[in-house]
Amino acid sequence: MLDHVSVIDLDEMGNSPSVRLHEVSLALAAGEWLNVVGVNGCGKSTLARLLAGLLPANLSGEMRRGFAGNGVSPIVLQQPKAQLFGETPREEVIFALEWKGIVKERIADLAEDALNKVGLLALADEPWTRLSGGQQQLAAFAASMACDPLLLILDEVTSMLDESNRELVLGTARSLHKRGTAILWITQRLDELEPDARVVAIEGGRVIYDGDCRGFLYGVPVPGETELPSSPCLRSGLRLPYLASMAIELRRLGKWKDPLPMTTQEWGKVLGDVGDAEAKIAKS
Amino acid sequence: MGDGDVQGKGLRLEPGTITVLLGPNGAGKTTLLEKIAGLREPENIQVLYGTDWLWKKGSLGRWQLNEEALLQYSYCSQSPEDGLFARSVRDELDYSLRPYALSEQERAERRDVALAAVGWDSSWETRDPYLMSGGERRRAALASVFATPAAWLLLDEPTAGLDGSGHERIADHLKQLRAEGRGIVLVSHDSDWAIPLADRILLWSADGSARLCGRDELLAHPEWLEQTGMTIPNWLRIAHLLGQSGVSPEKGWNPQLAAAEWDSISGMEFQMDKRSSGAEIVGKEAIKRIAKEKMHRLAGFDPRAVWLAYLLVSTGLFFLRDWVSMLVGAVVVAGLLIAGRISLRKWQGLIVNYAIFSIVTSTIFAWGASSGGGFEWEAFAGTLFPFARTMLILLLGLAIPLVMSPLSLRRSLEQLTTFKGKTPQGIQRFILTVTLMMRFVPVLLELWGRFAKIFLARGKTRARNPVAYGRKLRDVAIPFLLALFRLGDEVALALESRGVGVNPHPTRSVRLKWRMRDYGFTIGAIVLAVGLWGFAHR
Repeated sequence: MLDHVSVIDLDEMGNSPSVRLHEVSLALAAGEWLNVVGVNGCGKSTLARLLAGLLPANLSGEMRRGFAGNGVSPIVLQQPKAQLFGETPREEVIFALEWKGIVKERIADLAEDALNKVGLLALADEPWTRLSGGQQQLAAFAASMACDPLLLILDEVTSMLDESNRELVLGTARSLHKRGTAILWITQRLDELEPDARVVAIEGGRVIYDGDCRGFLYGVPVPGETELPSSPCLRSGLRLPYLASMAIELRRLGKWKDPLPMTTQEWGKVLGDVGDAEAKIAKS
Repeated sequence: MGDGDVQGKGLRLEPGTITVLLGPNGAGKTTLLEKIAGLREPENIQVLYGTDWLWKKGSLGRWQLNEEALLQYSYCSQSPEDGLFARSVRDELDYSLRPYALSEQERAERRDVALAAVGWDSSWETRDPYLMSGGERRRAALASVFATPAAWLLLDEPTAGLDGSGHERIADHLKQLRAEGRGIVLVSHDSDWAIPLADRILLWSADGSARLCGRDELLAHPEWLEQTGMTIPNWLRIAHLLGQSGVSPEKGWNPQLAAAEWDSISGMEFQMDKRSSGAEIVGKEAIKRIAKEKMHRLAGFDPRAVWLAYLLVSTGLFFLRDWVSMLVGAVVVAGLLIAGRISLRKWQGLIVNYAIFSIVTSTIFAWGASSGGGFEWEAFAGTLFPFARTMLILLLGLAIPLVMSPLSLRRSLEQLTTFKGKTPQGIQRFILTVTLMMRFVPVLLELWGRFAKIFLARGKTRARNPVAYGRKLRDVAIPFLLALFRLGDEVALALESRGVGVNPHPTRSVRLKWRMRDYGFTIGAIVLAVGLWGFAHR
């Protein structure tokens, strides 16, 4: 969808430009789940607004909205408070539907449907003070989903949430994705990444990695190359978690080979496998 | 210097240690840290810094913060960069240093150390935080936390959103402060960064019970996390296995050193963390139904009737001319609030401030009115009267947002301004703006409260004289306004991305209906208004 797009920020005097996005080329397919990672201020949010169809000033390059259509795609942001305009989830969805100009007769049904999709039907008429931060985010999802957008942009929606609310929000986003909505999931938390999902890493306004999440943590091994791959995660400036750091060291020591473990199940299996191998050696 | 002591739990934190505060969701880690810093009511917790109690009984028998104790800590709230307000990094650092009586030379030394701690040299002193990037602003805020000579550092998620090198830099500085004998209390969701850094772990349960243990003890007993209501992170399970097979804790906490010892845990059973992150959680969450709150009795009326009634009674109140009728007016307003079961508690601060403002203004007027420098009671009462009358109208007006949602308010206003089924666009925009502002009043109050806390934590003063009030107003207002602009930006973005304002003729799904009871309500208001008018002109 993006082809060599740059966004340049001009300072007060109108010169010495600082670049927010630099020559970014990116394609997003309908119904795809795309993770975007990077440190604060790397240009993730600029990219999010761009992909939503909110065009900033000083944009160069070409952009085609493709499957997402010509309108604006809904964005959900970190802070639930800044994006809720009603007093209850149902009011929120109705507010969104009214502004979309949906005919009066359909609004009640569509609102029920949107609330059901995010699992908030039972809490539809509760005021915000009785909902957790995660549930408030789900209400913002519901308002965004009310008109069946083809693309939903979620900009660090879990960063202000505790663990259980984070799982709730992430799980709901995944179920919306299963129903066919393309999701742009912007995050700083690497434990939200699934090994085979696609991730784009941004550093200083440039895309420095576009591939699966395992490759992002551990680097992509090149066949026939003896030198070990470097971790795009480290290159992007993010902190490598304990287990990933340990796996990379084990590979450096020559004990492990790619693919390195990433999920809980894979780590369990690695421990089990080593055990089995040892057991076999002991037997023979 | 002293050591922090959380009494009531009998917990004692030692200087020269890093304590990481861990707890499940909703256990209130931030709340606890704020209580330790005296930024909220202590409830059942008493805090002692060395020999200084955090809260002391004042001369009037009220509990007051002890300024000596406030000087003992430096506090870093979540997203501390939002609290910056000075025009240079140097002013920002000096602001944090002001409560400590230091010579200019000492201040300069402390500034240099603090800047070095975030990887900057003294050339950054003249930079303007307002023109910095988010990451740089965080560094400036951390530097102003590190600048003070306080014996304790209380840090709430200092590394959230920072890059890898930022994590390392902060870890290094915390270790250095520990070596200098300072005590550090840290809350962080990056458990694999924070725990290896700690000496002690404070496990805080949702029920308020606590357990203080050594870092290596936790390595041997990760199940304590489960007992506190948390899940054991996978990295800690593996580090635990390494520990069990005889690998020293020093190696176990460091993933690179631990990797060399991997073979020692081969074949050991790894209990997987079976948390699911699937759609079924949604269903589970939805089942948790909450007891329904009864709708407010005024919500049953047409919002237009409520508005009309308010206008009528307010007009009646405006006719009050003397203190006797004012008394009657006050009784009427109180009666209405009680009959409507409306509690104005939420607006307490606003009401009290308005009352103080009225009395102070009237007093100044009373002094100024007399030529001899005495106090003129007549002038005082004369000035206070219109203030008091406005107060009554204000009290009624404040009740309206408590019983009507902004959405129903918007509907009633829109319907009142509709001609031939269409609302003129200008009016529509105006109504949307006004009702959104009403919706955001609680958010704004919360925002103000947040910066008032940062002000207390940095300014270390609980003085209540007019000069201190003026200073507080300035130091809280600037970060508040800046945060307001950011909030406005996000609100605009959220509205725009959902297409609000794009469609010139949005649907109205609900039409308000004027019923019999609304006539009754309005007639009651007319009777009251005429009654007040009649009494004022008796």
